[in-house]
Amino acid sequence: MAKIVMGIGTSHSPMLAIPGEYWTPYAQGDSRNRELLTVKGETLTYDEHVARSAGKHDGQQALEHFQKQYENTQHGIRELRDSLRQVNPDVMVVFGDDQDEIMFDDNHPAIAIYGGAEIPQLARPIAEDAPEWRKMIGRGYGHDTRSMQSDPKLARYLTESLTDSGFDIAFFTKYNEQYGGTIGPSGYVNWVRTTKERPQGYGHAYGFVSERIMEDKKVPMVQINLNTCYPPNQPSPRRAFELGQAVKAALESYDSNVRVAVAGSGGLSHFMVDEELDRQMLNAFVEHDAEMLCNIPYERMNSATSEGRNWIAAAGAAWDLNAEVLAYEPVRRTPAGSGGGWGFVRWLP
Amino acid sequence: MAKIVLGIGSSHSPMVVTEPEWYPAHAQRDVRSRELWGLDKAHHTWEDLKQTVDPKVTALLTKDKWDEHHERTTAAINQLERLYNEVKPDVVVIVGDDQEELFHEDNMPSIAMFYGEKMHNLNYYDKAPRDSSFKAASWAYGVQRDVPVQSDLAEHIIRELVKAEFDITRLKYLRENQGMGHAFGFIVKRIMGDAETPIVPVLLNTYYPPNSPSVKRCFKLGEAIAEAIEDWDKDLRVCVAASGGLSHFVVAEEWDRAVLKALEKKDDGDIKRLPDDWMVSGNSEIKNWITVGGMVQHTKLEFTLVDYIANYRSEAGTGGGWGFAYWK
Repeated sequence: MAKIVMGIGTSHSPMLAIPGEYWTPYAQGDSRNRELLTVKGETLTYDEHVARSAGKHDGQQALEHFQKQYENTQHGIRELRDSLRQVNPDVMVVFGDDQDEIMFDDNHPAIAIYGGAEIPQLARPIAEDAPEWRKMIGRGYGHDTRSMQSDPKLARYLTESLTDSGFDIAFFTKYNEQYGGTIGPSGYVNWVRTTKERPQGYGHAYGFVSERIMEDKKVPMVQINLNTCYPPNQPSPRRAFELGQAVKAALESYDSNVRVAVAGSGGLSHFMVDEELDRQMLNAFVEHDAEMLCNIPYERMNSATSEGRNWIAAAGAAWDLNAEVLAYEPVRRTPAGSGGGWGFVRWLP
Repeated sequence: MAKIVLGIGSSHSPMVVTEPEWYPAHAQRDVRSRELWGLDKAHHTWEDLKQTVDPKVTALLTKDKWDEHHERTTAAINQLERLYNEVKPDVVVIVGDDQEELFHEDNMPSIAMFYGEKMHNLNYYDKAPRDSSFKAASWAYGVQRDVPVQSDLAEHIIRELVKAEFDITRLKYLRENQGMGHAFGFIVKRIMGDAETPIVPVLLNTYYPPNSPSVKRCFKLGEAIAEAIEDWDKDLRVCVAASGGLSHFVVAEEWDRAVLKALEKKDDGDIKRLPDDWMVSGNSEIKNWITVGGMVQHTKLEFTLVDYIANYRSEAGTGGGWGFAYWK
């Protein structure tokens, strides 16, 4: 009988790898972002968002504010790292998502579990003359070639058990050397996203947890990948919660007494800050309010805000534990209100 | 409102589309097969099975019997093809499995749907080894071409399945050198006569553990797909087709008959109780039939068995239980 001894909810934005003074140069990409969605799910251009915001986010881009926000996010990350060391679990189950990394529309699962023994991490090329902050981002997700350990026995067991309980899990035991393909158009993705074939190991959602939360004390990782981002087969928030609960139930009847940490990687709202939703979700984790989490409207859970599903799944698994919000920073990095709500939550008995 | 007007179930083995002279070659595969799943729900070698085979089975391995079986399978498939042509549906939802054709260990879905505009079919003749039994069978899996897909209906079904809490893998395009698997090519060619009628492919991982959907899940999937079809706002007449099965490569006539009986009676209790632990190897393709059984469950369509042939091909009792049926 395995036991869930800790839960983690962590944002994994590139901004968390670069101090506040780099946030303004980083934010320059927002004017070209095609995923700036309103809370009602409409896609607006950057300029349209600026016009709608009518100055209400002005002043939030001050360097001092950014630096304070950065410090608080790092506090959240350190707290998670230190707690994880203290709890010292045998294995970590990570709910993450894939953004044009290894999953494309030639075979795009809603939920996939990796059951191989080794998880390859590959160095991604970054130009020598790239600005320092770009290199820092690379390092934040693990920027060298090596591999991590999974727990293939547990991964296979979870796949079997979830399949028996009526989940339709894609299963893979091998990472290819190259990945590429297209995604879309469908739903809010109203264009074709194209990624050229290139070497690619495991994705950013897992890299962040390994590099920043585990740091140098690695724990074998079971990856449960949710297609949070791309219509039309994103699991609903309710389905994500049920998945987490089913993982918990499966672990309780596992034949080995392993101590398990579960983590939800990504979120909260981005690339438009939806502070109201973020705070409702954080509150729901603390208050054990499953109905709130399960009933988040679909149109409010797209683009990368959709990664909240990873948290909801982790919460479903860690439901018997108690959540504590370690840090939350709504970072509006432009006058349009684009940026992200970066959150860090710990579940403990 | 789209409407399911016809259901078809057809075996698709190379054995059902080749002359008896090829049966020994098909049987040769069994001799070294590692996929012989016995009635005792365990793996066996061909030699093992040969030791314990019912002598009545070996008595059936005659040229006359094989000729008769070949005539009957051919007649049954022809009858389904004629029926298809009479009904002339606007779209065909095909439920089939994948045997290392599109899906491999790098990403093996449990349940998948293709919803691109067209799905490529390959030239099986050129791909098969020379003088092989597969080459002899290749004519029945279609020609190299793009088969049209009712993409809007397929995407609608995916959306509805997600709402009904299915975790569907979706395929919008195939990679270069990929083509639809044999389960789909067979229906397109042998039942639909390579018509331009669009299809909606539903791909089940019936074969490979640990994520093959259970019998119950397949039936429920069928029910949910039927609901999505009937909820579709275009007036399409839809045929649903199950490809593959029944028992192979160890013939299990009694169990096949139980499957057919449960489907005929539309007894969802009996259907859901069909044994998951027997649906392994080729037997697992019965799950395609069960899914179609779920699709027709709440319609007025009635089951007719065209033929069932327990077609033994070796003295170890291997071969296949070939089933051909329709719901009309």
